[in-house]
Amino acid sequence: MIGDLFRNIVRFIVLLMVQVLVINQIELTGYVNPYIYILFIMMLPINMNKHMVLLLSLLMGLSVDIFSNTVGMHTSACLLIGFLRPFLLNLIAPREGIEIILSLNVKGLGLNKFLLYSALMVSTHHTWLYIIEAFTFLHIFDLLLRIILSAIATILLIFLSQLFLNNRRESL
Amino acid sequence: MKNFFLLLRKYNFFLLFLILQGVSFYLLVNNNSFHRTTFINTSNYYVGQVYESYSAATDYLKLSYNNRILAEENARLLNEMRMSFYDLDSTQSHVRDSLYKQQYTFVEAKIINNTVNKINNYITLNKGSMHGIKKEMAVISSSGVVGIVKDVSQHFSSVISILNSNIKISSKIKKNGYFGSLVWDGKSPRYCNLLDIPIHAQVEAGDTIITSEYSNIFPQGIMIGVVSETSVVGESFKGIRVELTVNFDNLSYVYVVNNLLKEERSVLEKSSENDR
Repeated sequence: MIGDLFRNIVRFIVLLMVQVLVINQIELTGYVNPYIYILFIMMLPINMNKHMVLLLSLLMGLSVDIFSNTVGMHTSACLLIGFLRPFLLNLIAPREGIEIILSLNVKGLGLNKFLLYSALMVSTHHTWLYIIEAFTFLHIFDLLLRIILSAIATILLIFLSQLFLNNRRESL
Repeated sequence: MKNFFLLLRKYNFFLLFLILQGVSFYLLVNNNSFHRTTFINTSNYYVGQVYESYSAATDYLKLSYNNRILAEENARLLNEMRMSFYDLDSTQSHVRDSLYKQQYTFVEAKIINNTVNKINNYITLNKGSMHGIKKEMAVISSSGVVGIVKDVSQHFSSVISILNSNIKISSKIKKNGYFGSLVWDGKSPRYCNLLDIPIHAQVEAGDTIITSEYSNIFPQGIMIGVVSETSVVGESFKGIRVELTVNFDNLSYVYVVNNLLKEERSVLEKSSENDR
């Protein structure tokens, strides 16, 4: 239990720093902005109280917002996926029930389910985020392009991080 | 009443979500107003510290480029010094007199965080109120206009870059003085659009765009960019695309401009506005 807590705190800090100090500094045509930090929300323990998940999503969103001067945007998007997480998990749950899944990573879910889970979470998050960002002026085609390209980049990064971490250690 | 509480109990998760979502939207809406004082931004002390140490580690990568820019600027400033002019009129003696009053002072600052790929971009500087920086001061670089100071803490300040949909810069065409406002369309960090130029104004690609004296923030005549293409928008206005001279991708040193006469002018303008 303590190990779980520690692991999540480390994951929070590492993902936040990677997001604001590495990924946010890379500029790829302005259309591709991956947001890998949502991996923290995706990988919170499966048996965690859903209210707790929501509050931790708030914390993560607010932290990213503070670092990127976008107060409220990431918070709102994180809250949305924190809220939808239990429903999405039910959607991808195996027939035997959600309880038999040990952890929310490639090992625990299997490759296909994990990809589906990431795709659902990432696309929800990115769509909501970019719509809020474009609130003031809307170029619908630009918006779609941004959402799709960024979502693909994020899913790719999440997948790569899983490969890398799984080889090294059990389920960080 | 009991049923109401039962309802609250049943949907408490959804209600918590709604309340938190409401809070985030409240922050989002408040954040867009220019006069805002919150701690939730990069002028926050701790966030500033993180970016400062990050910048200290990555500055080496830009060192040669920055050296070149500084050398160029030194050369330009040397050209403007009195010692590099030959005095044609030997009878005239130069006296430090009261005909000139200093209007602008400059504080040099380093950029420790900068984005160009969002729709609303911000810059964080390593100088703050301790160094005399206040809200709504202009920020320029050696190659042109950069932005306006938005929030200040003791050691850091955050700047709205001109690559931001919430900002308009009062600007004019240098050769004929037609003025308009410069806005960013959220696409390429190399280009902005100049609006409100009447259709009869003579504008060609290559014309220089500078800041106008209508602005109470920017000194008049600071370089903004050059016209890259013109088109006709609606019945009476031209759409002008301006290529910015500032390269936001690798900007690292800027000057914060303090207008010493700003207060006087804004008080005067405000009092005449009240008369109307």
